[in-house]
Amino acid sequence: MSLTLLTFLPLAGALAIVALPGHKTALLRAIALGTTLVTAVVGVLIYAAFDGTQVGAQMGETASWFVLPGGTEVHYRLGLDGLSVLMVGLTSVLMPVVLLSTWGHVSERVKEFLVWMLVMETGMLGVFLALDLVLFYVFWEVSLIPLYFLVGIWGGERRLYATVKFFLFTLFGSLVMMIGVIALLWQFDTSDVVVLSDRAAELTTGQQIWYFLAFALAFSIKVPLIPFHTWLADAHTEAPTSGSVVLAGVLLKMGTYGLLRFGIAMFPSAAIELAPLFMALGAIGIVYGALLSMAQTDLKRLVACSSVSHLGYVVLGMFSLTSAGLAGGVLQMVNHGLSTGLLFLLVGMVYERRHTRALDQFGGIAAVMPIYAVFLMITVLSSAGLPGLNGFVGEYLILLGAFERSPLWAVIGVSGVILGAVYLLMATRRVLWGPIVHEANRKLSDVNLREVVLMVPMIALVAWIGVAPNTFLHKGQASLDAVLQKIEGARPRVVLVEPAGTNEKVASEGVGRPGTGSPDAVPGSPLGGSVISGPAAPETGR
Amino acid sequence: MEHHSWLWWIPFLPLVGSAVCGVLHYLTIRARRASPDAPGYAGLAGMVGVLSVGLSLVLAIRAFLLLRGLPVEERVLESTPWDWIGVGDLRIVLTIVLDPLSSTMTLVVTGVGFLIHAYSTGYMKGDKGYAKFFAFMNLFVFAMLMLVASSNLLGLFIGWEGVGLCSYLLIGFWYEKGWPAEAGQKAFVMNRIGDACFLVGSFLLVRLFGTLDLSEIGTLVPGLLGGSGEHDLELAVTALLLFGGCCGKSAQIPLFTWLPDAMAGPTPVSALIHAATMVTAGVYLVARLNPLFAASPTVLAVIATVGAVTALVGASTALVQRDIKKVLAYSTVSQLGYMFLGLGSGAFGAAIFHLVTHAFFKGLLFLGAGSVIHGMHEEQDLHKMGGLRKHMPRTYVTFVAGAAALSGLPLMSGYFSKDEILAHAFSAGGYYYLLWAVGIGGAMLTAYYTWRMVALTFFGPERFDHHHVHPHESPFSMTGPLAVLALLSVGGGLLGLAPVLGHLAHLPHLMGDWLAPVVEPGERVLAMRHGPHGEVSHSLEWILLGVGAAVALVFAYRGFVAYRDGIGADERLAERRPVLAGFLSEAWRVDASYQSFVVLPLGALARVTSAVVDQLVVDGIVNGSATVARAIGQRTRRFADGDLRSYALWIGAGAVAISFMWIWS
Repeated sequence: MSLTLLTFLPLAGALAIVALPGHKTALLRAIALGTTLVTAVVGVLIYAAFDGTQVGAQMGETASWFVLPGGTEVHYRLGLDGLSVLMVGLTSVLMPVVLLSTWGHVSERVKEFLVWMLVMETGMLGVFLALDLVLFYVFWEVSLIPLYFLVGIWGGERRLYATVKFFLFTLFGSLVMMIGVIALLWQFDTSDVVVLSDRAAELTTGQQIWYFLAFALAFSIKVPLIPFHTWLADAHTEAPTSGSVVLAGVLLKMGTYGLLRFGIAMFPSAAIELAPLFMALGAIGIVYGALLSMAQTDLKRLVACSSVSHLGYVVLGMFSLTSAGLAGGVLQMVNHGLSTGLLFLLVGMVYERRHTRALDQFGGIAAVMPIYAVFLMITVLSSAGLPGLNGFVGEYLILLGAFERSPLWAVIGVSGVILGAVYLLMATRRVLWGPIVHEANRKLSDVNLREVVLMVPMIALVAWIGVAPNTFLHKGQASLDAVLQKIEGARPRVVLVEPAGTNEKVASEGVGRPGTGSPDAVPGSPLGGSVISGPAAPETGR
Repeated sequence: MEHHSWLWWIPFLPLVGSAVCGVLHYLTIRARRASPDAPGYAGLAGMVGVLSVGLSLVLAIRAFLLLRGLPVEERVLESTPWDWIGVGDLRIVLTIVLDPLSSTMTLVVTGVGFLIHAYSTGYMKGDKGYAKFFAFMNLFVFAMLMLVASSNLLGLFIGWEGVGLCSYLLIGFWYEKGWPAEAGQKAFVMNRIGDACFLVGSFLLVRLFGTLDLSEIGTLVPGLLGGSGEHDLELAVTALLLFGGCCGKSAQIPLFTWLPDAMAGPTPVSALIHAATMVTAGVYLVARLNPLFAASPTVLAVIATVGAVTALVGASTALVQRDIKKVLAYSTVSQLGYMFLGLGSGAFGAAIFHLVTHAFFKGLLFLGAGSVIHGMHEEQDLHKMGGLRKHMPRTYVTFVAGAAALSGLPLMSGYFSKDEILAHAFSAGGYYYLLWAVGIGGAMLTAYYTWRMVALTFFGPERFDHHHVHPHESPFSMTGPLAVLALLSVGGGLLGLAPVLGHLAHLPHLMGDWLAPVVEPGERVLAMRHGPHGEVSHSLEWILLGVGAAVALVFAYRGFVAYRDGIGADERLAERRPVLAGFLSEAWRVDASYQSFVVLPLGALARVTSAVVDQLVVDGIVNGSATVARAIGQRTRRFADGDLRSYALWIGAGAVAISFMWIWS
């Protein structure tokens, strides 16, 4: 099974649809769904074949592509490692669900819609698989463009405002990232991500920070990290259901994935320096997003705001730079894709029946839609982190890792556990429970077979990850350990020489306490003594 | 230590039962869509529900017998392990472990659970969610068994949150009414506040011990106590945070206000979840980690204080409630307070003993109340009952047995278990004398409100409308479990006779001996930290027993006499002391102050965050920068107006500027 096949299968499907007449919607839909199903099978096979105990990229594919004016060779280079394997699996499994969900809400310009969806899948898979910086950038842009159209054409009433806002935000981020890409190419004469990851670590901390920020801006906008989050609620609210599912399920994860591969793993010294900032933004985001959700009266906007909160967890965990935090962060990307994806599907289902998403228009739905109630309840519990379901494992590892580094931000993050229960159960109560006060709700039909079929695989994964998370955690373990080793190697180490000169003590900073690694802090230590740079990292200056 | 893979079936049987009942509920819904009066598969669901818990009980008894056959120091049964989470050095392994404490808890959960399930087949008859009810109840038993039999704190947490979920679902069982759903949500959120503390406590445990295995933590605690005491603060904070979780789950101050609201659920739910089992989870956790809690005198004092104050607040509130289930709910809050008073006095075994007897008599009282409510056509107001002993004699007799145990009348189960706790508090001395006095005060109130409730329900004039209400005795499916629980409530004291009486009757303290290997590590830590525990002399023990008996008898009598002839005493109180009556009936206004100091401000904060901070400030900056960008674009457009002369001008100006800078440097 080749990664190229996986990546370009959806594009092939898109081309086939382009070639067919637009009025045969049933056929087009069948082709699109079939394409994503085949892609999903290929994706699952590749996922299963991936060996989680190995470090480094597997199933790599390389071909020369073009040569830049300076002589730098750019390659077409794909590969799968522990940082990307879960995201590739999630993307390929999620897309058939997304396609199947469009039966319910896309009836105009079906052909274009399907084409954009498939193009987007190729873009997303490419983002996760590309191991060449230029190729990555190309896929990054390819995956973004379809969403402009999905929101702009098939979106809700304020779709133009949402599209323009989304476009400007991401364009701004992309441009800054492009500067970073060009600068890296110019400095190292290669676009190979693996080589760059090794050599970029040799840069001084100061240089690393500049690069890190250039990349992190685009990713932070994508995640979205506060204060760059305001495009998200608008984009989600206006997007069609399937667009929201892809956006929450995969596109946002491109941000966290980028922070991991092109931030933490590539510029470790910068990551150490900036970790306190990102942990703070993550933890504040958890609470801030939860407060936003509590105030919403539109069900879809509520779910959209909850994404800000949930991705705050991911960032908090990853930037704790601990094994638990990193593993939890990577797992939580999948968890959020599943639970929030399901929430958007469920919101879409009541919207298709009631044509409103205002919370006060519902109530007592459980009595008329009992199966729907079961699915919504399980999803809400998954999202609220009930042990035994997926969300808990990720959240727990994240908070545990964060606590190891910074009890303060971890405790602030833990408060999200309470606030999450508040807004999720409040929404559940207002939709499902209570008496039926609106006559229109009395004759709603329960979920149909198609809707059940598209939710069942996701619910199964929710339970599977909750009961046997090790199956998934082990896939990324070796790669994440390698990242962690790199980080620990880059931590500023100082040797304290006692005035007597007899005892030597190596102190590794930042272990078990939230401080940033800065040698300046040492003279204040009780040991006193002179400070010289240790052997582990000769360059710790800025 | 012995390994038995079948131990997993103790929790799994109810889980399977839950799944089957869920499917049966779905089939019933489908059958009713075709014809609204179709019986569906309700009867089958009841059978499955009762049977799954019954089989689980059989396995629990088998495990108990196996355990008893082992030498005292080897009394541990283990199931096969399940590698749940493994990251870095952290390994979370789930195992079902039965030691004397867990075995006791599984017997209570499955035993009382079985009786309550059997009772429910009668109580819930005709409810349209009959099969769903058993699905939730079985799921609850599964979660509760995970809670009490897990080897690992996170495994325990699966059960901990699982029982919370079932509580949420069952409180809101009649969700169409609206307020039960709100009560369920309140219960879940308040429990989550405790759970957040629990989580932080578990992080600290990982930091301190590198493991979440409960028995390992227990053995590692003494190692941290020696030396200069550098870990004392961390240990104390950890214990307090875990206790915060217990406050939520076991309805202690300040997180107790959800429990009275939880009475919105069906009465068997109140009996099983909100009296006999789930709410005692906090007591179990402290007893389970007794070395950790024993490590800090301050923590123990905090726990004992919270327990004593909760006991008093709960009992005083129960005095004036008119809803029979509210009386029992506040009584439960109060009795749980006694258990924590016991734990805080270092009497871990006594607290568990009271947990067991309380499961018998409070389960019985709730089921009895359910039988009354059933017979009275859903009437719960004590002021609209009266004289029911003639109409429902079996319910009456069993209810009186439960009331005798709750009020601690001599030789009843509650008498021995509560007095053991109070004796330990007394013997701890110092500050604990005060807590003992508070406990005695609570005991007075307990006896009073219990017999007030009995008198208002079963004695005096019949205050209901005879045209609409025809009280009747409940079917055998309901009175049968009542009889069994009544026997246990009366005779449960035999499990733990007071030493002086046990000496007379040649009976050992069965419960104490059985639990000894589990509580011993904590007692050893206590001895290390506090010196040898004060021994209670025989004469002092007789005096304490006598005080307990006298208090119970006197106040039970006064409560009964005051209300034997009707509701006059309540009316007089409301008339003469309206402020006091209002204050008590609203549970010292704690809930109201949460409403105004927490709930409303939090809602306001959320709205301000959304409307002001997010939309005006953050988004304002975004939209503002877009506007500025457009303005700049419009200005700078003039530079690119296509006029060759102006380009030349700008190029010239630029060249001049650059040459100036060059010369300057």
